Amino acid sequence: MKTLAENPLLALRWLLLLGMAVIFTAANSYFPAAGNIFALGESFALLGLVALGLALTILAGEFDLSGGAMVAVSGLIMLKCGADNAVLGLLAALAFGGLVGLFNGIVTLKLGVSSLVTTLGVMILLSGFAVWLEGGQAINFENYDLTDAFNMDWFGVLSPRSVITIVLFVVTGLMLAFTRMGRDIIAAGSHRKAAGMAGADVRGAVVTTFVLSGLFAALAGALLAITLGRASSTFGANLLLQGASAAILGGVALSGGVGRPFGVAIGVLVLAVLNNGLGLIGASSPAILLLNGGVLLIAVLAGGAPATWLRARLA
Amino acid sequence: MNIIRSTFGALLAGSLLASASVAAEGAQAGKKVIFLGADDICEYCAVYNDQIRKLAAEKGIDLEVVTNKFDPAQQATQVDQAIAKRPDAILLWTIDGTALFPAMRKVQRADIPLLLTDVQPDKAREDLWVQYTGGNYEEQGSKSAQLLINALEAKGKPLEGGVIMITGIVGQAQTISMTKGFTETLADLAPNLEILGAQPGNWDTGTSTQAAAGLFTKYGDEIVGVYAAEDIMMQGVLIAAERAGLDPTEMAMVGGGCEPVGIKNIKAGLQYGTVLQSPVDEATYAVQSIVDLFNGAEMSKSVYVPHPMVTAENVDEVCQPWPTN
Repeated sequence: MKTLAENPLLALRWLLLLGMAVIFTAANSYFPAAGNIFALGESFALLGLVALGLALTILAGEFDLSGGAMVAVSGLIMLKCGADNAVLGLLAALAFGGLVGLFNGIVTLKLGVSSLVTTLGVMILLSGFAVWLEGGQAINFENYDLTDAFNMDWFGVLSPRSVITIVLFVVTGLMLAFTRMGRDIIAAGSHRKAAGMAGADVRGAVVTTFVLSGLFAALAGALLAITLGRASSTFGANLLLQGASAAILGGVALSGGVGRPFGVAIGVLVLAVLNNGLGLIGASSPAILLLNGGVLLIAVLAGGAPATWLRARLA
Repeated sequence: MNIIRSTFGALLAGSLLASASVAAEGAQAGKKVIFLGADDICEYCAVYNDQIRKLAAEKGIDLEVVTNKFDPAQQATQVDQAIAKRPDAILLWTIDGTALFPAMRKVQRADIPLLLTDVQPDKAREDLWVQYTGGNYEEQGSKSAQLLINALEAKGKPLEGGVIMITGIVGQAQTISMTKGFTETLADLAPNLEILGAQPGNWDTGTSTQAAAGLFTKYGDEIVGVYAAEDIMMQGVLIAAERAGLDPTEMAMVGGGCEPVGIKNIKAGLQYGTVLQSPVDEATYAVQSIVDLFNGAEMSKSVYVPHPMVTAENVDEVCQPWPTN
């Protein structure tokens, strides 16, 4: 009970996740099937990387709006540069993502403008760049051996993409918990001035979160392009909102400094399970949208007075 | 001529379906089929979805309809889910003509028969599916070019000047095919008609209004004809033309689909013509494809719905109102 007392909201999210899993299993016996868990992992992999990068910037007291557009651009770069050599395409996509993240961080700090403004501009630029790269043509990936390799299942339920995402969540969590950079990122989002005066590398921490956000979104786009065998300027359009929802569901405070990758992973899983389960039972798109909004509202509202009440009861 | 073509097309389609139905004998009854389609958010899709539910029920098919909001990544996941359910067949309205190839390969490896509807991917990969039924988009684009030429001739105008295009979503297989059919036919039949510009209307009236407004501003009086790949996009073009002070009756305005708004505009004289693509036809053909699959009928790789050209002369005969709930 001590854990519940320390973090009742995390417990609530676990309960929400487990409750949904029980309900969907009761509603459709295919929910716990290996093939469906594999599908869940694929959803987790795509949304997870974008949500993780976005959550890092929020943790540092900023916000990166360019993640969704980066998914589209990096997918196109992956296939344009990697038609003959997939590794080259992947490196080009990651390099682009990292550089755009670096640009976001430096411009935000140097010009002293809100990162919302900086990344909004970059998001629009990236969207235009994606359409230009696409050039009105279908950009396909003919290396189906590699596509099949990335679509293969490990132990029936995992894919290379979902494993990569899980590993990055773990590594990022360890980085935040055990490295100076991690502590600086949290400090930058908590009390930036005080952290700076105490010797924390606030600027380095902020830039690092933008670079990581760009890298994670680029990786998500490149892996999506490989697994679909296709890239398009329209891909990733909904990921920004979903990523922000997952981060908030996962306990990341928009004010900065609060939240951890483990919580974000739970937030991503909540959305993935909700959408997967509703799709499995044949819910209509309006119903799925309404329930997504409903779950987000419940999770956010639960962070107010109910959480205080729960904490007091369990302490 | 159009009436003859459309009547012939309808009769041919009807006879094909009738002959296939005779061979059916109901082996499809009770078969579990998962249909992965498009969301009801698009009117065409909503009519299609309603029709396929109704027609499948009439044939005794246990059809599960799963839709998505035009997101290929989500649809690829839905394919994984569908495979996990081990249905007798999967009917796929692929949201993206090529992004679902890896998912189709999974269906093939799972040894589940795959039928396609509405969107025909690259035929080079047709080993992945048993049969495609639906529109022939290159033919539609080609007939739209023919209609545009007919429109200019009917208005007594020379076959020269500028043409603008409002296309579907950039990169989509159907957009590419329609554009290819239109541009190639126009170049063949009227080489002095120059395509001045093209903008995506994304199968949406609002986007098409903005796209057309930009082209009208840029090219103005040089424009003698407009091709919008769908009637709801032509509606946007007409709004933009009115705002720009241009008279649409002076231009050759050609849409696509024979949709309710297109029928209205054709009857009002604002739009010269359209090319039929009916959601009722597509759903009917898709259900017939399922029936044929389970009854061992010989199945060709591609079966296209009829695409007669439509003008004010034959609109009432060819374009039937879409059924409503």
